Amino acid sequence: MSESPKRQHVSMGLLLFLAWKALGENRLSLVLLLLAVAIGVGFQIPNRANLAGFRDEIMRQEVSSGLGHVRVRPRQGERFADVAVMMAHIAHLPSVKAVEPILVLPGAIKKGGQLVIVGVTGVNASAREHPYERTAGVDLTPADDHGTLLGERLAKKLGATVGDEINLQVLLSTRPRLVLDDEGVGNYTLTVRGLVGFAALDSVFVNWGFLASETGDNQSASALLVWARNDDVRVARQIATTVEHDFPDTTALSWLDDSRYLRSIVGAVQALESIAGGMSLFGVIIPVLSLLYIDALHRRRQVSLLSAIGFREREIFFIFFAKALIVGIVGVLLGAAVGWGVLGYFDLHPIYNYEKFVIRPAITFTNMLFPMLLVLATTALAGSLPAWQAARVNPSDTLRRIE
Amino acid sequence: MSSGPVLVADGLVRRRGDRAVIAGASLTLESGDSIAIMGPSGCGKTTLLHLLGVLDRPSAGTVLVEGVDPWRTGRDARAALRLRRIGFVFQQNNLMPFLSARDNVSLPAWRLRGDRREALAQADVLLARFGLGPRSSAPGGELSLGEAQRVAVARALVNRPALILADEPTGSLDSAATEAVLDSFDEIVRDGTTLLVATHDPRVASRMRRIIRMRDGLIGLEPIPPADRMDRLATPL
Repeated sequence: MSESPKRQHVSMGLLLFLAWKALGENRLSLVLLLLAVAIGVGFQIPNRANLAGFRDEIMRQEVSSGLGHVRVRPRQGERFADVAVMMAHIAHLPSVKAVEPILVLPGAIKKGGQLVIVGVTGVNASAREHPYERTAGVDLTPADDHGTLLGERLAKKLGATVGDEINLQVLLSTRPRLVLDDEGVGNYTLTVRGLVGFAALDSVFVNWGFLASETGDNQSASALLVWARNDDVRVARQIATTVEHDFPDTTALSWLDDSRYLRSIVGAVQALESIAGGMSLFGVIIPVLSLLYIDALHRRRQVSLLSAIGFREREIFFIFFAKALIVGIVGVLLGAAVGWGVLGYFDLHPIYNYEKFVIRPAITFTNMLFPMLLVLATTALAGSLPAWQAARVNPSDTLRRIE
Repeated sequence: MSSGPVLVADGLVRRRGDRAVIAGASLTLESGDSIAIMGPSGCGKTTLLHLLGVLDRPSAGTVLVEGVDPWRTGRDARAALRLRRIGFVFQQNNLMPFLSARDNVSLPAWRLRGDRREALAQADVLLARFGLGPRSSAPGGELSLGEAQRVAVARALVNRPALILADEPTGSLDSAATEAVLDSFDEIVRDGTTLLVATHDPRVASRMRRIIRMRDGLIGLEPIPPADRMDRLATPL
């Protein structure tokens, strides 16, 4: 009486056929199930993409076009006297894309009757990466000792634009001579070459070589900014650890550890992602679980008939589980289409667009696929309880009832 | 497959709470037997059928199907036994309403052999044999009660089982439909399949070779000569 191995191997086609046919029996339930899943995915995709877009924009402004992924500062004192050796060493570390010096000095800028206290930052004009993004005019060139870049908000405050001349006073020496005199103050007339935005809206940039030579130390820098090959904070932390190990007189911090602002933003985005994702999942799991549970209750007699025919418990489980999978796959694909459409809308009409800070959805393979897989897994999970319940039906008890 | 009795039940007891629904039933079914189980409602006919069909586990006693005690095997083996050797026909709601008559009949064969085309071909033969060819594509939920019962009989037969258990198969049918189902039972018996029918209906019992009377979970075998059947069966127990 034993079955041959071939016959013990159940036809998956049969189980899927039964699942598919049973699903089609109640169109309203099917539509509601598909809607629950599709809406879950359809909301989750743009939500995740917009949050990722927000994080990307913050990263671009504060890191890529800001102070880089790792910030290296002297452990004591305000400046490195000579950064040439350290720069060359860090530039050759794995995962490092660029390393650039900055020299920051206090100063004041004047145009017409307007005087504004500012931080004056010397940057390497020939560098690949800069702690700003130029929004108008041209970049500084290495030999340009008479040019400057102004933050957009500062320029607006001064009424300055590209091509204008401004007067810049820089406090060249802060220590050990704290008492100001004319020798400690540089006074320059510079031409505005360009305007810069993002985190540098209120800053003034000049050539690092020019500013350093004015202080008397041609290779001095307040900090070295290191750009990594990607935004992964683990990479930045690894670089920081290596730098501190190789140069014990320095402190090196990753972008996340250096900025409470960034840490708060990243934490907030992660929290919002979790909350919104959780809401979407509950929005899927409750209706799917309820409808499939009611369906399993409603079909106890059919399950008992299958059992009487000779279907095994795990096959009955699979029939009901397959229903959840079919609903999940079809619903997720529908939801992905909806999500894609909503992404397109938000790409054309960003949810936030103010003074160069534009949040566009990050339309990536991951941001599409992750919500799809998450909702599919949730649907499968929601379907497993009713499937288990169906598989546990006692056929004798059910079949003795006349329905 | 064993050449001995199709089924041997010995001292079957089935308790529900403190009550013994079946209180020591023994019987032997030989190949080709056709047996009616009669008795008042609640006497344990359905429970007995479920015990014999390996749908329910006896509280005591044994059931041997072709020499094998299914309760000494695993759940999968019992499911395989039902699939290959036992066919069921219940009083009503026998079919998957979302499947056509053809798909309903082919289901056990598809499950057993894994070949849908072959299973459908077998279903077509059986449906034609029971006069249901023109209704083969009708959904189970749209068949008349009589048609649905004949489809259920065809489904019970599709894997050529050794034993068919029918629980009040004509209980919801009119006379014409009852006659059609009984004709299909005659065909089953002619094929050498063992048929055990639980019924209230003397007409059904009269078509069986043996009758078992049940009362209070106990059974007594009562061979009735064909000539006497209708008169005797009409007498209350």
